[in-house]
Amino acid sequence: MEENNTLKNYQNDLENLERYIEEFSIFLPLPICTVSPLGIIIDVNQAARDFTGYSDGEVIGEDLEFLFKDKKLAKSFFDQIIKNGLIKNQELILVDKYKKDISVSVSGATRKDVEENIIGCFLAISDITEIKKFQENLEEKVKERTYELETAKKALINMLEDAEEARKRIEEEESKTRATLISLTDGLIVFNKDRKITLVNPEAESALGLKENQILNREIGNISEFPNLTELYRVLGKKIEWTGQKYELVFEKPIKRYSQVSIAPVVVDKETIGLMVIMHDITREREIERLKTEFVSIAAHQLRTPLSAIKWTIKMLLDGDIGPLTSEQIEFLMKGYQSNERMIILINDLLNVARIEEGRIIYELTSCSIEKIIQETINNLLNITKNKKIKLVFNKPKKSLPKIEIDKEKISIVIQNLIDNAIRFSNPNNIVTVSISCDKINIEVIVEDNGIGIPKEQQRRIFNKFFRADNAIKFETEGSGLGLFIAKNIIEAHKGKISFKSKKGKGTIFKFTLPVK
Amino acid sequence: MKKLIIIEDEETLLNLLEKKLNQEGYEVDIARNGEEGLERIRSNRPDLILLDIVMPKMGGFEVMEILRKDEELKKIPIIIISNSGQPVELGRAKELGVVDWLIKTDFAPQEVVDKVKKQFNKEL
Repeated sequence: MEENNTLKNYQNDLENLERYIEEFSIFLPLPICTVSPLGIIIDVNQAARDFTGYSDGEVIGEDLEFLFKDKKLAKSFFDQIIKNGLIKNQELILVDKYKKDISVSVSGATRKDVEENIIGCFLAISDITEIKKFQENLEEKVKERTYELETAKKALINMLEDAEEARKRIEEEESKTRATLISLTDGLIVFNKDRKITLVNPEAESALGLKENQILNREIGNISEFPNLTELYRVLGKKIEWTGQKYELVFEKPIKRYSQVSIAPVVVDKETIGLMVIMHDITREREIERLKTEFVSIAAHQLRTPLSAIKWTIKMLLDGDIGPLTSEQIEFLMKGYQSNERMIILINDLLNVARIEEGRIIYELTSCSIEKIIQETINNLLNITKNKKIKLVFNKPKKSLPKIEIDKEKISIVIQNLIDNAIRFSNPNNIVTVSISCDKINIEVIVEDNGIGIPKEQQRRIFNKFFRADNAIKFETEGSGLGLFIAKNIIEAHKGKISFKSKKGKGTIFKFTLPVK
Repeated sequence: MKKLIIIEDEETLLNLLEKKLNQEGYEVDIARNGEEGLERIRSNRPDLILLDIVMPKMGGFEVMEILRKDEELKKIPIIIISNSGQPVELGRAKELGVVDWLIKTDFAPQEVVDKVKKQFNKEL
């Protein structure tokens, strides 16, 4: 009886427990599946029935995979539970009775009997659709945001690239300008508005014997350690100003170099932002000039030898030293002699030019009477004036003139050239007048003609080497174009002045002065 | 009779001058370069030397330098006949006892004769 009571009590307890579990499982909102060790669903709770839509009859006895979309994944999940005892939060897609996919998170735990044998497992299923949705939403948002950010970043990068490109362009421009300045064969120093040095190109560096960085941002007047730079500054009159003038600069070291220096403004957008000093090396030109002069000098000397042989031969024949000649023979020989004389004059002109360029036209100063030189010159020209039917008048001074210190031979050349020109460019029956006067400072000589004159547009060039006026060439083919160049240089070497007035078709007046003392 | 020597490498000028001076009644010796000239001067003792500057073998300046070292020969007057005539040369020639300097292109043979005559007249 006692035993029966106890059994009955147990039975009651068990029934109560079962009911408790039953009620509990109905009440539990979490869908639970009970699965056999072979993976067959043996029980589902109310929540699971509600969630899947299946009734007990429709689901119990089915394989676990029946409920899920990915059968393989569901099977392996089950195997993992059996193996490990507990697997939490496996994400799976559950397909409900109405073929609707529901994202779920499934946790599984094994069931064991008293002897620890596995007798199946529980699966707790929770709906994560909302979370999933939220997550997806979030991901979408993040994606969107990322895209936006990326677009913004791209735009920013583009902007940065543009800025970089612009900077590069400016740098390129700058380096182009710099490259141009650097590759210039002229030396260049650039000064800013405050007269500080902002650029020195390599040519200037080598000419001045310094490096750009040694004088950059300094004022030229404050730099004393570079002799060539000091010399440059001295030549420029110790100021950096745009005068439009050209200056001549000579560097003695490291080798003798001649430069022509000029200053020009640096203008950007019509605004002067500084000045640049340009040094143009003329050493080579100087050397070529010297060689040319030397060549002319040597060539002229060489030409003089055969010319004098011809001159002497003809002269002796004409003088009858070799024997008597017929008048016809004399006439021809005279022509030959005159041509030869013209050649000699031309060569002498070239030699005089060479001497002028060598800077040694005046050799010997002696005390001379200008009047006497003029008279001698006129006497030598009498034959020519007679042939050309030109009247040559010498207006001698009323009072006697002082003797002056001159190179007699050279002043004769000047007078000869001026009178010769006057005769040459006069028409028959014209008059050439030579007058001479004197004051306390100067002796003045005037040679006047009423010949063809010098065209106005060519007047400023008449003292140039090899210049011959258009009407002069037509009028008289002979002439080297050197006479007036030589005359000007000789007069100026005597510290005198030479000038002229002329009108085409009316005549020309040449005037030169020589200092008395 | 006065004795002259012409030292000149230009054959034409040499012949012309020789003829001209012969006609004037001088005894004329000739040489075509400085070396030959010196030899002739030493053996023939002329009264006047007409000397060119630029010549083969030995130039006029060299001839003058050598003559200057000889007490007897340095007394012989020298007239330069040249086509040179650089101021520097003229100055140096004066130091070496040159009495006259003729630029050949600028003078005719008769003028050379006149210079020679003038020189001998000076001595008289």
